[in-house]
Amino acid sequence: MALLEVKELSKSYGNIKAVGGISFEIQKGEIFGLLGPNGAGKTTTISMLSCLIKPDSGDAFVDGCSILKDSMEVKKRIGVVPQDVSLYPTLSAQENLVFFGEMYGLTGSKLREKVDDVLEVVGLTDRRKEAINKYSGGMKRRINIAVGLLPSPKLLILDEPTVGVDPQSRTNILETLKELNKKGLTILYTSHYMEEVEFLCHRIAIMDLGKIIAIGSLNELRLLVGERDLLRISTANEISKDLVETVKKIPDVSEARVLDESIEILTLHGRKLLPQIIEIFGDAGIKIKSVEVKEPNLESVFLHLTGKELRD
Amino acid sequence: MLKKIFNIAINLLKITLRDKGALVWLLVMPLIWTVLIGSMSGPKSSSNTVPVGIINLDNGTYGSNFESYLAKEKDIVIVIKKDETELAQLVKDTKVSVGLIIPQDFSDSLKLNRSVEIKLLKSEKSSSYFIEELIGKVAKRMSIDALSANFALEKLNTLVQVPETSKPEIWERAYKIADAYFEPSPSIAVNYKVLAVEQKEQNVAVGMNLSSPGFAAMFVMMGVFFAGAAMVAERHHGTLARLLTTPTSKFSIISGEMLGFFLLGLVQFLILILFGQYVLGVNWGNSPFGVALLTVSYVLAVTGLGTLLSVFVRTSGQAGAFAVLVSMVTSMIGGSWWPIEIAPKFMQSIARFTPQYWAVNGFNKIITRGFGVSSVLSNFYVLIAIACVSLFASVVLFRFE
Amino acid sequence: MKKIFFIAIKDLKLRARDFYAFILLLVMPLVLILVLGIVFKPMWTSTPFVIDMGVVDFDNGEFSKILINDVFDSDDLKSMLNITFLDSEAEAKDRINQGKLAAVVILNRGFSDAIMAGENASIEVLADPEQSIKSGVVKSIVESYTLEVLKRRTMVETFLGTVAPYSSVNPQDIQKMIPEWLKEIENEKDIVLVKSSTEKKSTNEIPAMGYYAVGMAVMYLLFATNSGAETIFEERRLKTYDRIRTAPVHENVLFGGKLLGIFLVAFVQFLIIVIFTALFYGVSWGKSLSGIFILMVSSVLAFSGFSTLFASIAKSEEQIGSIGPALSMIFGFLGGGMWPVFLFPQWMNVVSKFTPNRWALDGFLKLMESNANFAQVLPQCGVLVMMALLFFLIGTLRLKARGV
Repeated sequence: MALLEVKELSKSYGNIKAVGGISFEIQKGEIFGLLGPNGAGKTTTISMLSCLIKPDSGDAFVDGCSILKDSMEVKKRIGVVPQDVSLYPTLSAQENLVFFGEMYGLTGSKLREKVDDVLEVVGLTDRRKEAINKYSGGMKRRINIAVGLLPSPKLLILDEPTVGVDPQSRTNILETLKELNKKGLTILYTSHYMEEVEFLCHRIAIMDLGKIIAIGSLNELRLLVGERDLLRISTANEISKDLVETVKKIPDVSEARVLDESIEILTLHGRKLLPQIIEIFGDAGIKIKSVEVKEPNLESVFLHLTGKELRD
Repeated sequence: MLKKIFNIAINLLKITLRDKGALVWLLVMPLIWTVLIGSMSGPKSSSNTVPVGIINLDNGTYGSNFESYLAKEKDIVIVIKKDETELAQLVKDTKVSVGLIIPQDFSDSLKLNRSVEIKLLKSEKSSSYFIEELIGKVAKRMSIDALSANFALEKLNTLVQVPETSKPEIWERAYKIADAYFEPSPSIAVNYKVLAVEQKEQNVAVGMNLSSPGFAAMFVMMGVFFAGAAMVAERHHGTLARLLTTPTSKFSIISGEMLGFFLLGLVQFLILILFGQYVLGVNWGNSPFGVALLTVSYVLAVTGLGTLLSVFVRTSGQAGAFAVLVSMVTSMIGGSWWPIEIAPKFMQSIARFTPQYWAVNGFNKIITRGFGVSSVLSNFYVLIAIACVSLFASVVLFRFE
Repeated sequence: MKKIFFIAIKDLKLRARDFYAFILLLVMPLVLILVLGIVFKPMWTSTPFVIDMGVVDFDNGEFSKILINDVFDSDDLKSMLNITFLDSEAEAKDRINQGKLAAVVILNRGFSDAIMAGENASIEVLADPEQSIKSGVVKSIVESYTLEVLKRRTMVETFLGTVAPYSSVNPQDIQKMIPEWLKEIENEKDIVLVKSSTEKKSTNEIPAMGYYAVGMAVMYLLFATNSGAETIFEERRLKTYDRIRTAPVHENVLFGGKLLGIFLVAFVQFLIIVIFTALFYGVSWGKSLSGIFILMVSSVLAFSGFSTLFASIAKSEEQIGSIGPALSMIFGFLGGGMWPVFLFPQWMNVVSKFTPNRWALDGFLKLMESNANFAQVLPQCGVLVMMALLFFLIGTLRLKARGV
C-alpha cells in the first residue's frame, strides 16, 4: 500500500477551482516532488493533506487513514513544514520546539530527547536558546523543518521550504532532507524551483491551474518533450522579440524563451540546428558569448506542456 | 523645502484621520469622557434648587420658625413630610438632599434653655456640605435667639419681679428683639467674595467641576501621542531609511512630521473647546487671543514631547502603552482631573513640570478669573520652553540612532 | 486535556516576556494607584492641610484682635493657617489672583466700633476660585467667629431691649453687670443642635489608597484580557494557529487553551497588584481570603468573557489595540473606579450596573469595609459569573463561525 494515496481531491473558492480533482500516490521511502508555478494549487493541496482545510470532494489516505474521517490519526503521522515560518518570534527555538512537541503529545524526557534530536538534525543545537526573531531567514526555515520532525512522522510535507533563503542555507536544507530520506523518511516536497526538485525528488508531479499535467521520474518527464535538446545561448546584447519569433518559426524548434542575456531554445536535433541559429544571430548583429547543448529540464517540460514559464 | 514640509504634514494628517483607531482617541473618547464627567459633577437638579425634607413634630410654634428661616434661603425648597420612614427613603433615593426631624419638645426646650436635637438624615450618596452649613446657621440663629430671650428674662427677673403669667409674653418679645438682628441678614456677617468671573452656575471650579479645559488638555496629549507618536514610530524605524534616500533632508522630514502632529493637536483641541463652550456651557470666550496663545503653545509642547517619545518606541503598540501611561499620569499630577489645591504640597511642586499644569492654570486665569492675555504670558513662555527643549532633545537623540 | 494548559502557559510566557505589556499591565496601574492614593489621602482621611491666607487689618480694634490672636492663633487652628499680613486690598487681590493665597480676610476700619455701637458690621473674605475648598474653610472659621460675636451682642442687646420699658431699672447698674454677664455668656452653649445620622454602611473606613487600588486593579483587568484577545489575531497573523492545527490538537482544545491563557494572564496580573499594594502601599483587601479569591476569579472570568466577545467583533489586532484602552477607561469610570459611585446621577448608576467593574468593585468594597465573608460576596460573584457565561457564549459562537 502506498504511504499516501490521493484520490480526486478538489477544492474551489467561489468560482475559482484551486484544485480540480487531482490523484497521485507516494510510496514509502520516496521523495515526491510537486512542481508548479505560483497559483498552481500546490499550497491548497498541502493544506488539504494536512487537514487544515476540507476538500470539496475526493479523499486522501495517509498510511490508510482518511483525511476526511481520521484527521487526528493523519496528523499523528505527518509532519508539516509550511511556507510561512509559523513560530513565536519572541520565544527561543528551544521553547518553540518544546511547545509544539507538547502539541504533538510529547512530554517529559521523551520530549526533551526529541527536541535535542531535531535540533541536531537541522544543525542549530548551539543556537537553541536564541529568540526566533534573532534568526536569519535560513535559520528560521531550518527550525521550521525541525518542528515538522517532532512527531517522528512517517511523511514529511514541505511547502516551498527554501523561498527567500540564502544559497548556503538552501544547500544545507536540501542535504539534510536527502539524509533524512536515506534513513527512511518519506517526503512530499513542493516548490517552484526546478533545480531543487530535480536534485531531490525520485518522482515528480507537475501541477498547473489545479491539475496534475504530468507525473513520473525526471527521465520519464524529460521524455515528454521527445528527443529534444535544450540549447542555451548567452549573448552580449539584447535579443529582440522579433528575433525570438524568427527562431520559433524554424522548423523543429518547439519553444524559445528569453532569459537575462541568454535564450533557451527547445528543439529537435539541437546540434544540427546550431549553425543555422548562429547565422541568424549573426545577421541580426547579436554577439554570441557561449553556447550550451543540454538535456531538457523540468522548465522545458513545463514550457512544452503549458506554453508558460515555471518561474514568474 | 517648505512645500515638502507641508506635504509631509498633510500626508500625516490624512493617514491619521483615516485610521479609525486614532479617531477614537482623538475625538470619540474625549467627547464621551467629557460628557460622563460633566453629568456627574454638575448641579444636582436641573433647576438648581435643593430640596430639603422636614418633619415638624413640634408642639409649639418655633418649629415652624426654623422651617421658615430655612425656606428663605435662596435655592432651597422645603418638602414637608409626616412619616420618618418615608423621609428616610427619600434621603436614600436622593430625592431630597437631607432630611430634618424637629422633635416634639422643640419649642418647650427653647423656652426652658434646654438643649434640643434636630435629627439630620443624610446619605453618603449626595454631597450635602453646603446644605449642612446653611442648616447649621439657622440652628445657630435660633440658639442665639433663644439664649438671648432666656438670658434677658433671667436677668430681668433678678432686677424686677416678673409675674409668672407675664413671662411667656416677655420671652416672646425678647425673642423677637433678638431675631431682629438677623433680618434682613445677620447684623454681624461675613461678606464672601470669590474673585472670579460671573458664572451661570453657582459653583466655579469646585471639587471635580470645570474639567473641560483639564480633560481637553489630557486628550490632546493622548491624541498627539497615540496618533502621532505611534505613526512616527513605525515610519522612523521602518521607512525613514527609505525616505532618507530621497532628496529630502532629515530636517524636512522631522519638521514635516511635527507640523503634522501640531495640526492634529490643534484641530482636536479646537473641536473640544467648541464642544465645551456650546455643550457644557464653559465660557472660553473671555479672551480669545489668550485662549489661542495657550492652545497653540500647549499643542507645541505636547508635539515636542510626542516627538521625543517617538524616538524611543519602535512599534505602535509600544507607543500606545506609553501614550496612555504618560498622558494619564501627567494629567493627573498636572491638575487636569481635579483642582491642584487638594494635592499635597510636594505634588503641587512636581506638577509644575507638566505641560498640563501650565495649560490648565492659564485657562483658569482666563475662564475662571476673567483675566486677559497678559496674565497668561508666563504660561505661554513656559510651554514654548517645554516645546523647544523636547524638540531639541529629539533631534539630538535621534541623530545617534 | 493537558494541551489546554500547555497552550495557556505558552501565552502566559509570551506576555511575561513582553516588556511593553509589562509596562502597560503592571507598572501603569501601580503608578496610578500610587498617585491617586497620595493625592487623595488628605481629603479622604481629613488630615488637616495647611491653608495659606492673608489678613488685612484696617480696624485695629478689639474685635479684630480677638479674631487674629484668639481664633486664628488658637491651638486648633494655628497649625492649619499660615497667615500673611498685608497692607492693602489691592495687594490682597493681587496675591489671590496669583494663586498664592487661598483667601484674605479684610477687617475694615470701624469694624470693632460698629460692633460696640450695636450697628451692622461685616468682615470681608476674598477667595481664590481655584482653591474653593480651602477658602471655604476660612469662610466658615470667620463665620463662626462673627456668629459668636453676634451672639454676645444680641444677648446683651436683647436684655437691654427687654428691660427698656421697665423704668425702675437703673441703666448704670446694668452697665456694671455687663462685663460679668459677658463672661457668663461665653460659657453658654448652643441650644439648638443638629445631629446627623448618616447611613453608615461601613465599619471600617477605607483609605483612598484602598479604594483606588480596587478601582484601578479592576479597570486594568480589561487591559489584560484585551491583550490576550489581541493574541487571537496575532496567532492568525503569525500562522501559528495553523501550525498547531497540523498537530493532533482538537479545535476545541486550541480554543480552550486560548481562553485559559486569557484568564491566566489577567489573574496573575490581578494577583500581583493585590499582593504589591498589600505589601507596599499598605492596602488591606479584607479579612476573608476565600472571599477575595472567589471574587478575583469571578471578576477575571467576566472580563475574559468580555474580551472574547470583543475579539469576535473586532476586525483586527489594531482595532483591539486602539479601542480596547478606551473601553477600559470608560468601563473603569462607570464602574466607580475613579469617582465614587454615590456621586453618580441616577441614569449613570443604572448604566454602571451593566459593567463588570461595578460588581467587582461592590464586592471588594464589601470585603474591605464591612469585613464581609465568602457568603456575603456571593451575589456579586454570581452576577459576574453570569456576565462571563453570556459573554463567552456569544463570543465563542461568533469566533467559531469565523474560524478562530
